[in-house]
Amino acid sequence: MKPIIYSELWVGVLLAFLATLFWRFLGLILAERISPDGHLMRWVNAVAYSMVAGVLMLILVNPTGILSNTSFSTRMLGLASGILAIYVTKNLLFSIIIGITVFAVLSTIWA
Amino acid sequence: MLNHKELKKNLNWVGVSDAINVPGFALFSTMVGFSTIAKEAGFDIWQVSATTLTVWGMPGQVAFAGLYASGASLIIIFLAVSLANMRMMLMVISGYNILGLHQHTLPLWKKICLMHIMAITSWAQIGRIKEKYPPSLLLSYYVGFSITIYLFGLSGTILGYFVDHFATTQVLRVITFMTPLYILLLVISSKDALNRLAVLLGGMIIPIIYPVFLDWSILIGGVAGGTLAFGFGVWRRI
Repeated sequence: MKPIIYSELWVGVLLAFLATLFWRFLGLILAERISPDGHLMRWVNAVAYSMVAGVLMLILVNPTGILSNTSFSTRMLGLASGILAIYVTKNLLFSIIIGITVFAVLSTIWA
Repeated sequence: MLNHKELKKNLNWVGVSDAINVPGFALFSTMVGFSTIAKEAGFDIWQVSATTLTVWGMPGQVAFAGLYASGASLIIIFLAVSLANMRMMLMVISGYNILGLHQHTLPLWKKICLMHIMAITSWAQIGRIKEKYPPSLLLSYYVGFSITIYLFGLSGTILGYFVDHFATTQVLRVITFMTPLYILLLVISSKDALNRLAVLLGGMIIPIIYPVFLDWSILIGGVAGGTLAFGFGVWRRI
């Protein structure tokens, strides 16, 4: 029965593609109709930022795969130290290094 | 003095070189992470690569691989990927505006291609540097930047499929942690106070309501967080 499973996965790839393309295309159509400086655009922006932050926080709070073997506090302390660093230094690269270092050290110690 | 065409070409390369840095590495490692999950789920190398190239939105890709592994039906997979990648619509509206595509006379297929290569990274990047260049040059920057991280993403996908042969779990873990960290730091340091507030609210609301609303929490929490931030912004005139 291998070939059937194989082709079902390809149908899945096609569906995943269409599910994403649909939103991009709808965004394109709507973008031409929304005034760039209006309230609606500010709201869209705010919701976009809010969703992006939420999607990434979900990865850190409820991880699947390899991150799920680390503790919640390790991941949050890594993130918090990165946020603290970017507020103090305003330097993105430096703050990423701080966050990663804290995470790497804690996940090794508390493993 | 450079003419406009040369300037555009230059900006292409500025975009490329900005991408061959943290952004490229972040996309690379994100796709390494996706590829390891997809391999466990039973994808072959062609299927992981095709998913990265056609979907090009990590949360949707991870939802796809994770659900496929759990034996979910294709309808459920379609719905979950739709919900995970719905933010694309808002990113495209916002990105279209930042790039000033209203002012460009591009054929529709080119616009679709431009929006297809948009990732959270490239969207947040143009939001960050939009004051530096006029829209006509920003588009050149965006093209250079986005194609570069697209290639990094594809490389990460292919390498990620074989990475278990030569990297330790601890190294992989640190690499996987880098992407959410990087993008969260990028959006939390947005120059616009309203967007920073939206990041804070969405980042808290969505994980908190997740146990109740599951896949719908991105939509519900995202709209709630964004609307609260917007309302506060209008009220306090920020």
